[in-house]
Amino acid sequence: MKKKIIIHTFLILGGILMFFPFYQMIATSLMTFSEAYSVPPTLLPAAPNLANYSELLNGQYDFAQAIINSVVFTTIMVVINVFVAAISGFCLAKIDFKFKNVYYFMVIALMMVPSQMFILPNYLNMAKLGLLDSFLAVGLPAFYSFYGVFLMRQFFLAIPDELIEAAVMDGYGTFKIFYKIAVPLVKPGITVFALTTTLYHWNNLLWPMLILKSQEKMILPVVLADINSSLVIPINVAMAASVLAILPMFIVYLFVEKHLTQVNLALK
Amino acid sequence: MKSQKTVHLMLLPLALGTILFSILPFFMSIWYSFLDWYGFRSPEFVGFQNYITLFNDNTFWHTVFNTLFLTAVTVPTSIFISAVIAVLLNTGVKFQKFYRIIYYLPVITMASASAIVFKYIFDYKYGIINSLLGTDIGWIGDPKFSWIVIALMIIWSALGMQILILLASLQNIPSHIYEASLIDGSGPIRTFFKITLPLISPQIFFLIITATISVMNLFDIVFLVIGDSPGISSTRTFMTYYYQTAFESTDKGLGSAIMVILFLILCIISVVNFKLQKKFVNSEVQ
Repeated sequence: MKKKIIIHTFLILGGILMFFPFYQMIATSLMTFSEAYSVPPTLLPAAPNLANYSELLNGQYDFAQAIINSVVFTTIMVVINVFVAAISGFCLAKIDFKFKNVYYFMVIALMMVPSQMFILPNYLNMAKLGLLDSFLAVGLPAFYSFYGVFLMRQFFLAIPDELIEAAVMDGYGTFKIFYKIAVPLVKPGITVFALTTTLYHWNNLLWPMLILKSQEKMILPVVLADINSSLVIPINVAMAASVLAILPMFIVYLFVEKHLTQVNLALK
Repeated sequence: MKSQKTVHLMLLPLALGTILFSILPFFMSIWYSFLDWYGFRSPEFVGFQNYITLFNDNTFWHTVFNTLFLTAVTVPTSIFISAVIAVLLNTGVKFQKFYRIIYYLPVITMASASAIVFKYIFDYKYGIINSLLGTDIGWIGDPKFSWIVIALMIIWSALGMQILILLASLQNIPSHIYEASLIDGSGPIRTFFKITLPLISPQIFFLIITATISVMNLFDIVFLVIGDSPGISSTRTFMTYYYQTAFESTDKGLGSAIMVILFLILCIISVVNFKLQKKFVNSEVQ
């Protein structure tokens, strides 16, 4: 009993430290300007209200548009990423073909290369193609993920070969085996990778920040980085923006939380 | 024969993307690093001049030092804390799921948002930290302190994933191993170091490597929290140095040389990783 109390005390103290930035974010987002800039600082809004949120959604940043852009952009990127990772991972795990080792070596080798190394040449190439300030340019270098291919391959490896052979006997083609037989068996893997890639595209800053310039094409990380360096947006409004930017990922996370431990099994 | 065609068709998206947006830019980066290429001027081949410039540049050596220092501070700390929390969560404690969610939240939070809140918390005037400590420290702008903010943010955002991985591997340890050690009269600390730690050493090793690589690649939070303030001199990482050089100062040649050096460092880490893994990791238990 005493042991349990010690454990809980420890975990709760740690939890408070971990959660405090979120508390600060929410509390400040409900404060008035003078509360947010009071000395000494206060941690409790006297009269919590959503004024900052409405100011944000109707203000100069066109935050609502950024949310819509982020949702649409992330959704498209996740669908394509999951498809490419699954179909490539399946081929590398379960099909014999020429150059298979070349493909696998490429995936493993490029997983080690820091992707930032590609940024400057990609940026200059996009500029040459006249694609700057377009979502196409943001998406092109990011529609595939070596980590994703590797992860999906690990999941597909677990499918027994007899199942594939039986399907071949039944006259199934490679693509039909992939989506009729293999995909339904690796749903946990797909969930894990879908979450990873959702977080990546929702949160990623540098590449979209370099490419996107016009106001109506802004996505959340770039807008928030803008707000972060802005001298005119007060902190209570900036905090409201942060809360709105995190909230969708929190909801997505809660839905897939129980599948997350699977990632560990795949990495073995 | 037909199925061979199908497979290559199925792999076409990956192959095209990889060639155009990974392999091609990889070699372009290496080529750029041998060019004197500034702003809109036309590039000129200068051999290893950019590398020589870097090796004679104090900022470069500060960057190397900062990165090593941040790695040395944050990697052991975060993995130690994660291991302790994972072990505590694995004791069959109630509300495990609740704790897991709380500790995981920073992982899903975008750097642009956490930067805003950490800047505010550590603000010299309006921040809660100075108010609690009764101090008047410029946490962000003073290079003596700015690394602390960055280190805390690294640890804060790394714990969730590390706990998740360690907890899952702890749950895979068969309970009879613990029962045996209990019968042998082994205390909890001894059990942790003699039994638990060796059993999860592959995961610890994996975490050391991934955490090190992510500090090496650190960009967002330093760029967002420290920016161009004087605090950058103790927090400048390869990526922020690269961004400032290649994009803000438009020195594409020098910037690419920074990236190539980072790539070589990461290669060395990978090789050391494979060598050490063979030596230290207890793989029989896997």
